Amino acid sequence: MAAVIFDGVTKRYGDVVAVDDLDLTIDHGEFMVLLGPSGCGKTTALRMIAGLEEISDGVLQIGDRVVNHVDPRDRDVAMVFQSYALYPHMTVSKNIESPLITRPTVVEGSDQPRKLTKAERAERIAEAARMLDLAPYLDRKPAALSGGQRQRVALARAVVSRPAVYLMDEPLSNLDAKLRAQTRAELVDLHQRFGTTIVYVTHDQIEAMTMATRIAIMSQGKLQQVGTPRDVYDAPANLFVAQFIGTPPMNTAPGKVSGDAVVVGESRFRFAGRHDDGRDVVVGVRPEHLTIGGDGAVKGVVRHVEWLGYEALVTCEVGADAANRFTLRQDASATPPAVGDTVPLQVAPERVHVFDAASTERLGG
Amino acid sequence: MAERETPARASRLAETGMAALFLAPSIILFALFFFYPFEQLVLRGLYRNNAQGTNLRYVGWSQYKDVLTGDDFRAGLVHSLQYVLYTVPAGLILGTLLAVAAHRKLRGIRIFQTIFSSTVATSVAVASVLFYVLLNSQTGVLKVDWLNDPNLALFGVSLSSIWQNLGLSFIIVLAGLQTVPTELMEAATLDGYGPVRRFFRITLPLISPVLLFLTVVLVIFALQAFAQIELISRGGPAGHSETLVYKIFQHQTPDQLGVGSVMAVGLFVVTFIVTLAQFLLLDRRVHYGD
Repeated sequence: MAAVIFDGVTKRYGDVVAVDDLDLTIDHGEFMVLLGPSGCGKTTALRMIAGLEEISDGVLQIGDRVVNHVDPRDRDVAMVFQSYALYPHMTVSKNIESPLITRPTVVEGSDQPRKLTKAERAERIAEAARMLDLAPYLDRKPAALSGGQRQRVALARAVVSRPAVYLMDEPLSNLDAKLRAQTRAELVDLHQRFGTTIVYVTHDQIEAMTMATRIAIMSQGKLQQVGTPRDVYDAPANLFVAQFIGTPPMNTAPGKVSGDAVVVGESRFRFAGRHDDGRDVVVGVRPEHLTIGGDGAVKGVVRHVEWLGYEALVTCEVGADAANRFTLRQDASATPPAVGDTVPLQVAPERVHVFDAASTERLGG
Repeated sequence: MAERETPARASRLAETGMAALFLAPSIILFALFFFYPFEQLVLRGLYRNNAQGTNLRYVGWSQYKDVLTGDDFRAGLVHSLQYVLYTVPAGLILGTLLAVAAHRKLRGIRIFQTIFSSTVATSVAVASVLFYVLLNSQTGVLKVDWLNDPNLALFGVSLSSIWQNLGLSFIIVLAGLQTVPTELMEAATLDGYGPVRRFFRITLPLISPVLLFLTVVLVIFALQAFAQIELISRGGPAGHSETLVYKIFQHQTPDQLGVGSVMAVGLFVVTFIVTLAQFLLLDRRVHYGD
């Protein structure tokens, strides 16, 4: 059973198309991350699921119900906002209780949602507080909490009504790096415990890669690729995805197919599979797949070396074109080449990605 | 052993000196334009004057007792408090309603916002003349005879105050509404709150500091109202719209200056107590955010 289905969904603000003909099926129990740079339409898509944005075109389904015109409160979703949106005048306890007061809630042993009694609400609050380590803070106001604690209150407010779908809009972006890593693990844990569908919006690929069961990558309102973190990393559907996922990003350079290789200036990148001779393409190699050595089919002039302690990033110019800068990761113990040196570079043919120069789509071998 | 100045003590002294220096301008202004005149007012209340206004004789605090317990002062006080009751709740509620109505993203909403706030730029004289014309029993638009009715005259006058304060109330409440984050409203919507519940449970608590401020300002305005009474009803009929300020004005003839001064001190004390009470009673229920 699918939890959320976008069927040709479009959102327009006047002449601006924020989400363009989106087709996406989010399965029940999935942790789906909508990933993309700011302005790509991911938050708009999320807000359409919540019912906070009207849908200009297409059909949106939650479960087996079309929700285009369903009131937000009747969609059985809970949202965690980037700013947490806690009610500053209410205690933590009242904040967590908030969705239980007016919304009918599904109770165990019955399919029919109903309003909870006071005792049932208290029980739910206690349970959510226990789960998120908030018990000592229930009587405090949000202002008296740290950023991480506020974030957990926002999560508690979402889990307390046990919705069919959780919507999360960059919930970790206001936390410091250490807390972010910790909360990532907690979210994954929470997802595994409940098995509920989570739709999670972020521009941070680390969050996407570490938490998602599948990632939907968006750019300029259009869906670029949907797949597991492994899929999108190993076989990016187009040049945008290739360059968006991965740090440092995939190295790319325009070239021409000649036999079993893409020719970039003097260099030949051999690929696995077959492509039409003479075709204009873009060749792509991930930094970790490029090493110094080999037969010299690919040559680079070292432009700079960044030593990071655990590794060094070596950036070379390939094909005598300053625009074609290829970065490679080198083990920290190896001696880095000197700037200005010409070095041979090698990459396994099956690690070479080839994209069509005109459409930027990935070319299968 | 001679006491020596420690560095800490010296720096504390310097700090106090600096503080005094920075406070001096406002203290001097206050002393010149508030403390000194106020002291003169209190002293004046101790004297009874002749028709020329020269101090005739010292009568002491007994004049305070006589005036403040007299029927005239009491009648003025009752009318002033009535005026507060007529103007403050109406001003708060109407101002909030208008602000809520105008606090949305609509094409041309700025035109309405400008119109709603325009009364703030109207002078008391203009507002008074407007309502004098509206309420005129013969030629008035409303065709009512309130200004000649002892029970309705003050209410009729208060309409002009309500109208004139509306612009200020509107601007202040609208500014308050604009500080409430949209995401809180969206969170409340998802939590299942309807518009009414959202307003009373989220918006109202969050703009409560603004409403407290507005209440205090409107109460002080009401207690100070004078020009509209002078222009619309002249305190009539038969003194039924004579508020405390109006009575003080009536006692500005040279021979009544002492009595007028006592009433003015009385009004100051009443305003002070009412304002303090509002802060003490309402402040606990106000949420000041984080």
